[in-house]
Amino acid sequence: MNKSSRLFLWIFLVGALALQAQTTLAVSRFENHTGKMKYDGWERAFAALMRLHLGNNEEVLILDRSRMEPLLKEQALSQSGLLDSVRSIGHLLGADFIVSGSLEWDNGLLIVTADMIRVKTGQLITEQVSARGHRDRMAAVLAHNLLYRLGLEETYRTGDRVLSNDVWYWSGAFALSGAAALYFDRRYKEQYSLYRETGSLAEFDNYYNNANNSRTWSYILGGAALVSLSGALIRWFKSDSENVIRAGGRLKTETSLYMVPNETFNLGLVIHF
Amino acid sequence: MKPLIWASLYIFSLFFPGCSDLERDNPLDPANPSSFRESVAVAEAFVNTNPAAGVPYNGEALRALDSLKTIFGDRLLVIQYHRNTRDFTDSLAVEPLAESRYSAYTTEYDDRRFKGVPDIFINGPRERIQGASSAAGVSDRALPLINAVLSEECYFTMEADIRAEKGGFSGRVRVARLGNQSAENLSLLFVVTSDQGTAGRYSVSGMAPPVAVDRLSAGSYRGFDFEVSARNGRADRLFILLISDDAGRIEFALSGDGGGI
Repeated sequence: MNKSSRLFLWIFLVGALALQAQTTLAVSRFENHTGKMKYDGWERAFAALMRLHLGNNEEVLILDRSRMEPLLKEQALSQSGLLDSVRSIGHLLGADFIVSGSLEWDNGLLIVTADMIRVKTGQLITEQVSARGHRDRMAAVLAHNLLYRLGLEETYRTGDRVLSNDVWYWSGAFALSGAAALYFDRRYKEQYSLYRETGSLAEFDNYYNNANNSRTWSYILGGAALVSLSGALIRWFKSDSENVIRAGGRLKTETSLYMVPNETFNLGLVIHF
Repeated sequence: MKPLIWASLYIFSLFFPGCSDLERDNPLDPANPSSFRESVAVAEAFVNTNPAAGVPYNGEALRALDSLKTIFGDRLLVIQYHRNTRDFTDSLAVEPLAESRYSAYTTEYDDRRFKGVPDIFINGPRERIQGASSAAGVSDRALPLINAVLSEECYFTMEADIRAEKGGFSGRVRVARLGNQSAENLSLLFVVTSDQGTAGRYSVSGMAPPVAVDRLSAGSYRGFDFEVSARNGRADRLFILLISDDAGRIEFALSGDGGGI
């Protein structure tokens, strides 16, 4: 073996090892079971977001969606044994895990469930997020927790808080009104002090009117700042119910006997937590 | 709560009146109903300093005024009008305005009075010191009168921007009514003096006709432009007197030689 052949072999082996270290994920669609038309668009979009967030981890390799579509259509024709179907697709794609999911509606909450199936063993890892919206943040939390389940993230995110734009608007109004109120309050005190010190006929009215107007504006803007602060606080606390994303998950393993295309038999043990 | 309601609340808060006006508590501010100023005493002396007269009375009166000025400082303003008598003319006499002022003091407010120099009036025709056997005697008679004036609270004030011009003064004076009552029938008198040494350090060298100040509401002030020149070319100091036309009383006065007072 000459020198260049050895070098090629080394590069090949290092590349192969690197690929081996990555976890290969195939993300399927998230089906809309909410009964609400507005979430139809989420079916593909949520899967795309999941691909994006999962793929951000360097140790994850996301399979091309175009490779999955024909297989999904084919499998959709025979809906018997969903788990088996998914696993067989995973085998066909060469994926370590298949991620699929669903959208459900419960008491005003949108619940997104992601099922991550280990193709080799059939182990099912389920993660959920629930919120009243915020698709991208829900996908981010869900992807993070799936990665945690894979040991690729160090922490588990139990939720996330999304501040609505209202909070920022009210906070901005509070900051502006408050700053203006403080400015006018300072000007009022300065001008009133000058009024009290002066003895000039021409300056009494000038200083007094400046002080009076500045005080009036400081009160008006102070009132506006209080209203803004109340608005920001109310919107903040209200966002606790409206804009909080809660996460949870479970590990579920099912006993199954199935056949995969390469005609190998697998026997698994299912443990429910 | 709906955003629209919040927005309405915010806008409403902007137009909600803050509170009542600030208190005008500066004691010098005319708009403060309790405002007042310290009174100023004005000694107007009518003299004839012709040495041919051969009597020392006018000189004694002038010396008495100098000593009183030393005692009271800026709170006493001294104005010396030189006038011609029947027998002796005075080269410093400013006719006819000075003489008409003396006539008013001796006839208009009290027609039983007779004329004669030296004749000193404190803040108008009411308090009069006529004759001067000695400077000390004049001072003794003037002291209680001046102290009485200075012990009163004054409900007028004036400020002036004075420009010294060649042979005179011009500028603007502001007259304010303090306290809580309005005033009517007032006039402003502008008098220019020059330092004539022993013949009078505040000898009148020019006067302007009185300017009427018809009415001053409580807490208000009005401005008047003025221009006055000295008859004999010397203008060292300007006096502005605020006079009540009804009794001739000098309500307030100020003097200066330029700038703001």
